[in-house]
Amino acid sequence: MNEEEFLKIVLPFKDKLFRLAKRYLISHDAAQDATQDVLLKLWLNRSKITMYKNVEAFAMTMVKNKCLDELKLKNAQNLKIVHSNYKDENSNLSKETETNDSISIVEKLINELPEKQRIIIQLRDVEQYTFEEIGKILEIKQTAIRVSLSRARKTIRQKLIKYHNYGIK
Amino acid sequence: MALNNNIEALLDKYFEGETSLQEENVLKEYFTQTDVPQHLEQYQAMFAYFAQNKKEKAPQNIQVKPSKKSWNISWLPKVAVVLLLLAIGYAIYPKGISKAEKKEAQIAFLETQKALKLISQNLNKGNVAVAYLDEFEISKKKIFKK
Repeated sequence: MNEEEFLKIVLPFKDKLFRLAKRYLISHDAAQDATQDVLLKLWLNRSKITMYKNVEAFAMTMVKNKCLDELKLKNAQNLKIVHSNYKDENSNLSKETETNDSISIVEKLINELPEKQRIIIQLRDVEQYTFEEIGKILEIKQTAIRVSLSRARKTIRQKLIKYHNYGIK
Repeated sequence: MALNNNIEALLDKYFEGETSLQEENVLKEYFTQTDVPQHLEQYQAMFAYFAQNKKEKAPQNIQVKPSKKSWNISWLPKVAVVLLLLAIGYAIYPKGISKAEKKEAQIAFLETQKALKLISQNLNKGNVAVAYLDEFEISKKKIFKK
C-alpha cells in the first residue's frame, strides 16, 4: 500500500481519533501525542489494514487502548493530567459562537462524567455511531452502552437545569 | 404545539437512551434553531455543544504519514558528547597570548640580552687578566726550569 492509498483510508476519521483521545485525556497536547502514536502504528501495519473490515472502528479501538494505557501510566506515577487548556478552549469556544458560555459549561459537565460515560456520550452524541459500532470500538455489550448513555445524559440534564436555574434565580 | 409535544416525547426517550440516530437528528435540528420554548432552553446548549464539538479538527501538525520525517537521529548524542568535550577542552586550555603579554615578553628578552652582554663584557675583562696570568705562568716556568 502506498502513501496515497493510506491517506485515503485514514484522513476521513483522523479528526474523530483526535476528539476521542481528547475526551479520554482531556489535555489537548496529550491527545495530539496519542493520535500521532496511533497513526504511526497504523502506518507501520499498513499491509494488514485491508484485512480489517472496519478500519475506522479498529483505529478508534486503538485510540481507546492507547489512552487507557496512558492514563494507567499516569496513575502509576501518581500524576494527574492537568486540565491546563481548559481556559484556552473556553475562550476559543466563546469567540467562535458568541452565543453564551453555557456551551462551554456543557463541555465541562461532560468532562466531569465518569470515563466510560464520557466516552459513550462522545461516540454517540458527537460522532453519531450506532450502538453496534460503539460496542465494537469499546468492546462492551450494547445493553451496557444504553444504560451508561442514559445515565450520562441524565446527569448532564440535571446539572444543566441546576445551572440554568441558578442563572435565573 | 404538536411539534413541541413530539419533541418532549422524543426528549424523554432520548434521556432513557432509546432514541435512534434519526430521532436524535430530529432533536439536534430542532434545538439548533433559534426560538425554542423557554422550558426547553437548557437543552439548547447541550445539542449546540455536540454539533460544535464534531467540528473540532485534529491539529495540523499531526503527521498522518511519518516515514519521511523519521530519519535516524541515533548519532545525535555522539555528536553532542564530542562537542561537549571540545567545549570543555577549550575552557580549560590557556587562551592565546595577548598583545600586551607579547610586548612584555619582548622587553624582558631585550633586558636579559642586555644583562648577558654586560656579563660577557666583564668576563672579557677577566680574560685579559687571565691572559696576563698566563704570561706570569710562562715566565714562572722559565725561571723554574733553570
